[in-house]
Amino acid sequence: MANILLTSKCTRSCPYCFAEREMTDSPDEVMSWENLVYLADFLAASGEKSVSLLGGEPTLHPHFVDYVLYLVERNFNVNVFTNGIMSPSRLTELKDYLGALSADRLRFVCNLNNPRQTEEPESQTKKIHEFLSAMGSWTQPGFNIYRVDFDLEFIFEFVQRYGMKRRLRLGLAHPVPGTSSMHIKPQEMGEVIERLFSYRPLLERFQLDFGPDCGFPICKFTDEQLGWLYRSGGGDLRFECNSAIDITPDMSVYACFPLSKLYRKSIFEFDNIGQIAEFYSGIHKKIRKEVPGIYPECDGCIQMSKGICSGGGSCQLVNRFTDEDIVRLSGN
Amino acid sequence: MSLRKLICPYDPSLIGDFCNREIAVQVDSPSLVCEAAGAVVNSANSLLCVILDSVDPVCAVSFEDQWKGIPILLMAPSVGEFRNVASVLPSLKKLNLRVCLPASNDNIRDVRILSSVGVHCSIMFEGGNVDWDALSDLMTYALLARVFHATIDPFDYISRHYNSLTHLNWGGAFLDDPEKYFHLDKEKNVALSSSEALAKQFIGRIDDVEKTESPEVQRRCDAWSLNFLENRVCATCDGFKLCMGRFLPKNGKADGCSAFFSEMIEIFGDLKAVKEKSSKEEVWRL
Repeated sequence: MANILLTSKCTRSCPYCFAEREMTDSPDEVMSWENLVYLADFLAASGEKSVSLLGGEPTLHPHFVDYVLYLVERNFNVNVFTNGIMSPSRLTELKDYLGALSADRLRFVCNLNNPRQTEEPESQTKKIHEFLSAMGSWTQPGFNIYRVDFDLEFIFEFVQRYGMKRRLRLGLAHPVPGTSSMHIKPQEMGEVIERLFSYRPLLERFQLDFGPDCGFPICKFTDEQLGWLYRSGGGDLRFECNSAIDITPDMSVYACFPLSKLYRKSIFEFDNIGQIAEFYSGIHKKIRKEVPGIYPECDGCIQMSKGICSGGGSCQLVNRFTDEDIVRLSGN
Repeated sequence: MSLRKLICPYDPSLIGDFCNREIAVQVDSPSLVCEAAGAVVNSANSLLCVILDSVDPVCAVSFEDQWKGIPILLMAPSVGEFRNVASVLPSLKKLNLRVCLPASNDNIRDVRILSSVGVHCSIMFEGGNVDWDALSDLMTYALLARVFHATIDPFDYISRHYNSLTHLNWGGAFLDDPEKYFHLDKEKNVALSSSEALAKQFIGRIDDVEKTESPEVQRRCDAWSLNFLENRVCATCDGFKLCMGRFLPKNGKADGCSAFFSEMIEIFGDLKAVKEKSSKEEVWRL
């Protein structure tokens, strides 16, 4: 799966934002039509069926609605990762132009912060409600865990009130090597998973299943928890570090935000997504040769050798290196 | 002298005056498309296409189901926002239609977008303010893109007619080729290109022009040779075989056009080599 970054601008400043450095350092550029058409061809030639639109906040792109319609016309299923905060006119555009699209072709993942734990201006919260009120049935809730005492309760109310899709995208806030962004540390994983499963009764009552995003280590789940996850997720259960390919407006590629400063390439150096994935898979292997996983016991772990678990995210591993080591890894 | 195909304004009596001609009929309103096509088909002539001159962008044209099967050349000033184009695409893609746009930078971009979603297009470029780099990107896309897209003229036209041994007048992609087309007004006056017809630069009435091959027609057809006779800069340009001096810069220097046409010739050379290589028999056959 490829992520197309439409703009580096965002309307929010989340304390855990792992894209912040990439977004701040990026030139103030938006994805052009020419590049979008090139990417649609590139992805189609690679046999891709789905594409994700990210930012910054992708709906800030002046042609956001046009781009979604274009990609749908090109037979892609489109996922939009949004914070739901947008101007009334942009929301009207979404309703008017995207409202006819089937929820199979277009899906929003709305990244929600608990207003009691993550301070946000009331005006932004209001806008999120307005977005969900209009586009709730196209939207899947998303939540990033950046503190161990995270509180998910508000999400159940959102799902119920706005008829959102009943699958929660649960991500871990990842460290950005060399910065001090808030994130979950390896020693906090167990506590995070325990707290997560304390919501099991609510998840079951609201029939909300969730899939853990990349970076969760399998060894921190009990067999019972794994069984429940397997059942509720329809058997789709992975503990890999899935480095999605991110493509920026200036056509740079890298494998996931936290690693955006390492081994950045131009998409024009590749013929298809498979080649890019292979290249970054090689980089990840190189990283894991230095440090196999986030715990000492990852070294020689049978789950790792079977490829069931990647022993946490590569970003966590790189974060353990010194600054000097990062320079070495970047190949500069 | 071979009978030229005629480009006429829609006028039933004008069409009725001809016999056994291939006619492209011009209308300025979508509501006249069927009527004009019917007038030609029901006369003693055959229909080349209906040229719909629209003052509105493509997204604002009301495409009708009855147009199915009628070859249509839609001349529009621009495309419009994709959000509005998207709503007309389902009807548009069912038609036997080609969208023709002037080569502004926005249109060069929009032609690529339309082509990528399956709408056949033409981009008309003349001298002056052509962005040769943007056009070169479009040409590369038209000729070498790896995934399916609809054709883009004149590049598709050139690729189908290109012969490395001779020059090619690809104005035919826009019905502008005096060897093949005459542009008429309602009084049957002949112009040798659409722009000349618009500017009312006629060379005579069709009956007179066709009685004997008009010297003006011959002069126009041979205009390329002046580049050599007058020792113009185009005569020594690598891209001459395709350009034929039609973009002679006012300052006498060949700038972007030279690189553009040279690159196109190079691409055709590469394509030809690939084609020849792939058509070589690998196993003997009886």
